[in-house]
Amino acid sequence: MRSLSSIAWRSLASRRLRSLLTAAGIALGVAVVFAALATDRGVDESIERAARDQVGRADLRVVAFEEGGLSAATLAAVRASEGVAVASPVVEHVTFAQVPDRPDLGLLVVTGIDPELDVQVHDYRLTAGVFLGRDTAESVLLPDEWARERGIGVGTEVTFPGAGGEATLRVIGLLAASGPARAHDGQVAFVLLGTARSLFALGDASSRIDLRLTDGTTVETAEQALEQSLRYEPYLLERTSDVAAAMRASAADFRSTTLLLAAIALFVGGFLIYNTLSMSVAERIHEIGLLRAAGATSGQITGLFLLEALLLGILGCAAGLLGGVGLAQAMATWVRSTGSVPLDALPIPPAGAVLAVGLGLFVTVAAALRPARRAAGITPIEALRSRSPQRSGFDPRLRWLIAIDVVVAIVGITLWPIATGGDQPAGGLARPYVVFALLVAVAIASPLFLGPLGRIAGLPFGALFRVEARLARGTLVRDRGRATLTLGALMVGLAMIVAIGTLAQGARRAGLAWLESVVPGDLVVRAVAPVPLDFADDLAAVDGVARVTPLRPFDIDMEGRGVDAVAIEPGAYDEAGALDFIAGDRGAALGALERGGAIVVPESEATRLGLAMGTRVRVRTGAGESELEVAGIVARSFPGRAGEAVFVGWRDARDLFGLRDATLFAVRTSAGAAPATVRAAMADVAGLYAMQVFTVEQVAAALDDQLGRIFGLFDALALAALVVATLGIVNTLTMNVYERVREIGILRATGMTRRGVWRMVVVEAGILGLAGAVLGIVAGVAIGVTTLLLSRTAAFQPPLDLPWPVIGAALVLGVATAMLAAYYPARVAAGTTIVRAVRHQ
Amino acid sequence: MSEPLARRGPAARLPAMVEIVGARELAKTYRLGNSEVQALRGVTLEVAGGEFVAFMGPSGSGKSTLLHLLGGLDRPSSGEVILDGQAISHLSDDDLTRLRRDKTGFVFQFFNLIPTLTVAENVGLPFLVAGRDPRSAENAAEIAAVLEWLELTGKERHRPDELSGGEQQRVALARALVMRPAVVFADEPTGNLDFTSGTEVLEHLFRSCVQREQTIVLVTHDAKAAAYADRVFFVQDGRILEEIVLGRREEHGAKPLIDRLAQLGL
Repeated sequence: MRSLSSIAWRSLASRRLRSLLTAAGIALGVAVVFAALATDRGVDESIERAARDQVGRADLRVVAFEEGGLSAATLAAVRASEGVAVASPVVEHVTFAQVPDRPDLGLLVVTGIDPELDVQVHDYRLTAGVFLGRDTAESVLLPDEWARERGIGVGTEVTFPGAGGEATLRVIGLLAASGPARAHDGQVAFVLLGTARSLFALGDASSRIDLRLTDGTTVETAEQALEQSLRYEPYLLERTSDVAAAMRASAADFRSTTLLLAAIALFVGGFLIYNTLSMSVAERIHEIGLLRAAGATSGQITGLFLLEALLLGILGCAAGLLGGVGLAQAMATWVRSTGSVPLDALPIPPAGAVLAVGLGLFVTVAAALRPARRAAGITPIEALRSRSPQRSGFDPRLRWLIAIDVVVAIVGITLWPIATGGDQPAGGLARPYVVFALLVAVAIASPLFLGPLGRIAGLPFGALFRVEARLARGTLVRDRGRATLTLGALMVGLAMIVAIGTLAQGARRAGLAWLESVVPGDLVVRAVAPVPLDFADDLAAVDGVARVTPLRPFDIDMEGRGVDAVAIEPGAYDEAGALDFIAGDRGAALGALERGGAIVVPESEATRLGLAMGTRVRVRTGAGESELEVAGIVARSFPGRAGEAVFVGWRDARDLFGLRDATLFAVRTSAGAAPATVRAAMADVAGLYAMQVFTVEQVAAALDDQLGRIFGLFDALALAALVVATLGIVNTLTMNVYERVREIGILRATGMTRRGVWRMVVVEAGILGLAGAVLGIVAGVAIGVTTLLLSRTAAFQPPLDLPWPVIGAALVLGVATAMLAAYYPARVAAGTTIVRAVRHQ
Repeated sequence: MSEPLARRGPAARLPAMVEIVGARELAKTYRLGNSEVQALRGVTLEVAGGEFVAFMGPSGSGKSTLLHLLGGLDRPSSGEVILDGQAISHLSDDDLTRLRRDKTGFVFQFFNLIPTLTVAENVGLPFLVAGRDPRSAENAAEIAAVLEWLELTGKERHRPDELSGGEQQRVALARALVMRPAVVFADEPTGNLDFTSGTEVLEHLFRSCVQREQTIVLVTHDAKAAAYADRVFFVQDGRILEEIVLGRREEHGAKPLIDRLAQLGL
């Protein structure tokens, strides 16, 4: 075996470029897998940490459903409930923080706590100063990092505006970044419960009550007891496990997509390895024949090629792990910048490293198995004849390779949770499997389309390079198996780019459609805390303003279920032509809202709740219960916590639900007035109530930017697969050149110049690239549309819209990538010595 | 096979015609690792238009090297090659390629057909490479004519792997002849064929010389093949040891050549 290992090593060393390209392909695949595993593990740990920080040691939480909060009677009932050991009331409210020379330090969530009770539920760690106590009514605790960034320390006085007036509080302590100090991304301040209630004019209400149960009391028992005793106002019961689950659900799409792209990187890597080792066998057919003639057994020949594959795999996996650490850090930085998925410090999961290396080595050796067996089956006579048999039809190599990739996908996806130490992405496994199945199906079907695709793809090249295109076109179908393997790898990378583009386009269009439909104006004014309704008059007085309409999202109890709602001025919507009615007359519906006793529901909620035109629904109000009639159904509405919001007129919002203030104002500018100019003029007025003014274009742009960052990350991972595919094209074209040495010789002898030979190889690559791009676009659109349909939820209904710029870019990318990959093989072909070529055997 | 046409008398040499390809003190040295191999040592010869000459000799004698240099497939280390009145040794690669395209045709031992092209497309390859449309009326007629002449009518749409060895070599010969080049160079054209197929190819080469006044330069180690030539140059150790004039003959038995070689002690 020692002599065989030296042969294996020397064979790799003598074809340095090809060995390095192949190892690079493996490395890239392993790096993407490891980076995805590490990022996934990081997200999981961050979610766990965030959930722990948020709920502490609480077993259950009672959360206020309405703006008015939980009353003192509810708190007393909770404390008296069976199984409750500790009930810690908490008030939370958003406001601005100010110091004398710096009026705007940013938003903070002011959290009022009972210090003696809350320390039994949450762990606070001080880095400086002292904790809150009974006599610290005018004191505040701030997160250390937030305070230091703003030059605030113990002793600084900070002013907080609120509905009950302003409060200037002294900083008595700074908190370490752990536990409740990490809530709301570390933008939180802690004061006494009474201080918060006074500041925000909340009376004796609480935003929520955190519960610890007595030993032996189960969560189910406690929930049943609470449901019996809490009858004062609507509330939600939250299990602490629900908090982590909700976070995981929001990150599920991201995690399942990174998992999918990692699997695809390995899928493409398998093509590369198979191609490379097949080439190696074909090139060394004489050497193999000699070894067999000299007495080497077929087992030894198999072992020789598997050893070569293993050496490449080890080299590739080692480089891949190193690269994976760097790639993971880059991915983490990018993910954090989007702010959409929680991610703290990135772990280096040992199990993840083992899985990434294991998968990389498995794919390498498994992809090498068939070429190795082929090599072992070569007889000395066959070696002397040295003619590769013509292959036709569906190549068994392709079936073998697809079988390997399917097994890898199933094993990898199944082992993923072990490697990441977390749960499977909630409902997220179906999508990767569906996408993978679609890719495999297109790969299997591609040999059938190779001939016609090659002819079609050859047409544009034939118009420019008639001679070279005619000669190049036939090469595509000469070895269908090899062409399909190469095409397949390119197709996969481009398919993912197009699929991601389709998803991004759908998400963008959904966002824009929502904006256009539900915002009756050109500007949006957002308040940190609710402001009086008559503030609209101050905004309307600004030059260039035609109309200001207040909006107020809130929650209602409808037929015993929590439903999101938004209070609107129906007249403003009628005037602006906003809202797309799909059932009911616009005028009649908005008129009914204006008069009261009616709601307009979005289609998603109508389906979810089984509502139709004319349905009468019972809602819990301050006075008891009322009935509202469904006056219309619209396509879209404001997104809420549980789904899209139902529209309620301000008359009902005031009379039934006691709302007197708004958190959003939609501003319609006068004809001829530029929204940006009006926005600038409005800034001073809006600043009085610490409100922010945005043009609708700014909101759309911010949405677009956020989506662009998320999808940009996925595009980068898909490009990694494309790079691996490009390495495969280099190998394939080099092999094609090698096999056609004599043909190239006769072409040169017949009078084709070196440049002509170079062009022929490059055109061949261009045809391959164009064919792969067409297949990739078809597959990508199919995957994108399927994924969009699978992604539709009550609150997210993206339209199906083809991303034509991305499709065009994929076409150009496919051709350009392939032609770039042809540079080296074309040089080799053009440099062929005629005499040696015509005598090549 | 068609009847051979009438010839001049035995051992009669063709009247002197214009030189179509020639060598002037041609030499070629190859570098193999640290050593040098002199494949050709100062060869001078002339081939007239319409002549059929053969280079014969043992393996490694330099006969193929001489053919490659005369055909512009390789460059000499010193000396000059004259092809259709033009010195070619110092032409640029592109100019040499164009000259080869216009003036020469090649037939090699291993056929060297393009497997993805049909017979007609393989024969039309020189037109394609020269930027001429093989499907134009004029060119298509030339292709059809040479295929008929080589008894390949009916095989136009076949691919090379559907033909026998002899048929493939005839297609290669058709490709070499279709543009009516100044010279056709054939390097061991029968080396990969059985006796019957090989004889057929040689007969076709001879007929092209007689009927189309095609100049043929043949390299062979086989006396039976060399016996088709008007003149035979015996090459050994990179030099022309002997020139044997056989003349244009009706019969191509190898005995006269073998006897002559024996007389010369070769």
